[in-house]
Amino acid sequence: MSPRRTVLLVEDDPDLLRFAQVTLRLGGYRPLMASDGQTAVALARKAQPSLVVLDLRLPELDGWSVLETLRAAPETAQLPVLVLTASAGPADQDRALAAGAVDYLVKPVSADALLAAIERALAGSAS
Amino acid sequence: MNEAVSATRLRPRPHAQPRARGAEDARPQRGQLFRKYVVIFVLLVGGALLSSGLIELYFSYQENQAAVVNLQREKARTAVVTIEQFVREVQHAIESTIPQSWAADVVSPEERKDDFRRLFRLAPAITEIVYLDATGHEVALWSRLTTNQVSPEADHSAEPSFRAARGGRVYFSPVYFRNESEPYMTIAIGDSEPEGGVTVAEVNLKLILDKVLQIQVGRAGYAYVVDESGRLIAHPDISLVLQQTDLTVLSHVRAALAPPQPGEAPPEPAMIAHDLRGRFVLTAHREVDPPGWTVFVEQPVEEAFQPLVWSALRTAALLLVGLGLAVLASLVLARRMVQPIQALQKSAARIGGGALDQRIEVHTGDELEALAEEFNRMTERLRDSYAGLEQKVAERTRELADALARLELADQHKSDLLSTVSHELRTPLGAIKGYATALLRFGPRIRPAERREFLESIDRAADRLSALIEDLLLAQRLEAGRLPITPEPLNLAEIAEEVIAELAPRAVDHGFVCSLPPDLPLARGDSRRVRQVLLNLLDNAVKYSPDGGEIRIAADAYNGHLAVSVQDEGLGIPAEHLARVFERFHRVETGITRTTRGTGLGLAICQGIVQAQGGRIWAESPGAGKGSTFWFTLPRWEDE
Repeated sequence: MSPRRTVLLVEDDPDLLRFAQVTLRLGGYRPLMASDGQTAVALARKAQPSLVVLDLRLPELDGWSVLETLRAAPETAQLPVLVLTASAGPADQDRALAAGAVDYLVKPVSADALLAAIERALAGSAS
Repeated sequence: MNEAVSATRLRPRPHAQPRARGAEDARPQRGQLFRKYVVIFVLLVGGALLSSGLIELYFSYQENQAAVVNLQREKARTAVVTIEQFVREVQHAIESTIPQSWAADVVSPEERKDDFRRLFRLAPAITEIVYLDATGHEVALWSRLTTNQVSPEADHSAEPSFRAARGGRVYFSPVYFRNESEPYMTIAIGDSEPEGGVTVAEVNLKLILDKVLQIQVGRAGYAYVVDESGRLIAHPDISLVLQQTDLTVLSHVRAALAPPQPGEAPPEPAMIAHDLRGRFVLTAHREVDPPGWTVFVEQPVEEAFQPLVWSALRTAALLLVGLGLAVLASLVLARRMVQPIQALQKSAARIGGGALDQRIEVHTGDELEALAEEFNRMTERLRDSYAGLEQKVAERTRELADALARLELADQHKSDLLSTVSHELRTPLGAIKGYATALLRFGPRIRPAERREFLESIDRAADRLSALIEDLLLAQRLEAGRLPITPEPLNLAEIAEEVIAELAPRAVDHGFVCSLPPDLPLARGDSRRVRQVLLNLLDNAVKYSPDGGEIRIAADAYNGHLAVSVQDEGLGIPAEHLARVFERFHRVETGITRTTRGTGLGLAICQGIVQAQGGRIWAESPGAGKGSTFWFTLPRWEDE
């Protein structure tokens, strides 16, 4: 078994954050958690996770800015970002993919769908 | 809309070209107007001058002719009187030598000769006189030319003078000439008895006829005498007389000598005729009786009418001058009349072409100026109404644009609200879905404590969802004005105590200070809704003062209203958010977690409820971290 890969969870709703944390742990990942944009960017640089699961509506620094900041910094430019949001608009989806997100999930999302999307994203970035 | 359309129609069209060309076409017409005026003026003035000149000329012709003719007639009459007097004197002188019938036989020839000699002294014109006895033989003779011896054998009984004068009659012979130039006439007077003798005298007419010839009419006028047969007996041109010219070749002489026909007008006593030389002359005549001659006085027409010609020339000159003046005056007048009209026409054409700022400048001080002023006023009104229309169109356009912008804004708000609502719904839904699927997938691998935590989270999310839906519906009903409000008298102190009692168990770190005056008047409102508002405000006060502290509730009465305030010592509100906290889903970033947050609709609902009861709501805060105060008002209860 390969070493457990680190996934950074960025979510301001505590219930959803807790759900994702438990699901990832049970799914075989090592979850890191941030509930605002500033913390997320700092953790991504420091911990060098394999993947970021990013909510778009965040306090302090919103998801869009986090995505932009990660893409702009060389050490995080290749870090795959999976957007998980309650914003269902197709315009937001196009914008997120154009900004460098590897996938776009709309809440509510099941534990299975979340894990499948994470696996897909990691496989895509590995190949 | 209609105004906009008519404004477009009224707007000066860019292709006013045809009208401008029309103005060009009108130019020759303006020239025509000028010419028309000039012609009318000239005709009027010239016609008046011409007719007055002609009338004057006609009357002066008449008067002149009458004057000349009168003069000639007068001269003729004078001549005739002279001749007649001469003839009568001669006749009387001869008669004085004729003795009365009873003495005829006793008068000797010698005595007769004495009488004759005496007669010569009395009548110098008689050159010879002879008495013939009843047989026509000479009895006595006295002559200035020959010896005074009678020729007793000579028989004169066959001579016309003897035969025509016998029986007391008087005979005048035709004029005859002696010495080739001296006119003579024989006058014979018979004795009174029928078979008596006759006295025959030869009379020299030279002196008397010379008197006639001395008659002067003007410079070229002259007189002449013809005898009964039309033969010329006296004329300034003696050769004509000696040639014994027959003047009946001249029609006026013939007409004058002809015995008046019954029923025919007598010949005109003065008329224009040809003289012997073929000239036109003005002629007048008068008969001399005795001896039956006719005196003519004639004057060449050109002389007789000389004053008339002068008068005509004068009139013509005046007419010319008058016409010249008329033309000048008409040019000036027509110019003065036409110029303002041209100015009017030109300006009107320009205004018609759309130049509404055009002013017509006509300063004639008459109706034309008044017309121009009227025109200017009209143009001004037109311009004003244009401006008004344009302004109205601009206003309407602006209003439409504003309305459209408002609509778009409302549309944007609605779409924003919808996406916010869906976002707010998806978040608890995401928790329910996530925990439920995690439980399903990992079932036994989830520890019992976690399982309980998951289920509690699901329960909380479901509660939040239903609260959100409740609040959305309530907000919608408030916005549509469909929330039933039942006004009743409210004791605010009681309500505040109840709400504090309800909230206190959940807020152990907070102290509630309720300082409502005991004599606070009753408020007018729906008790359930007022309770809801107060609960919401107090709940917020608790939530946004996470470190605890005092929460003060106060109330006061003013101007028919009651104002209630809820003051906390919590996080406060930045100034830029004070007005917006009542908007739906407006969030002020604070350090508190989402779990403690409400639906985001609480304050919007509070505002809707307060306003529906006739009050208002607002927030005050000295700044972030310094607490905040929420106020709301209600009308006082008035006893009905």
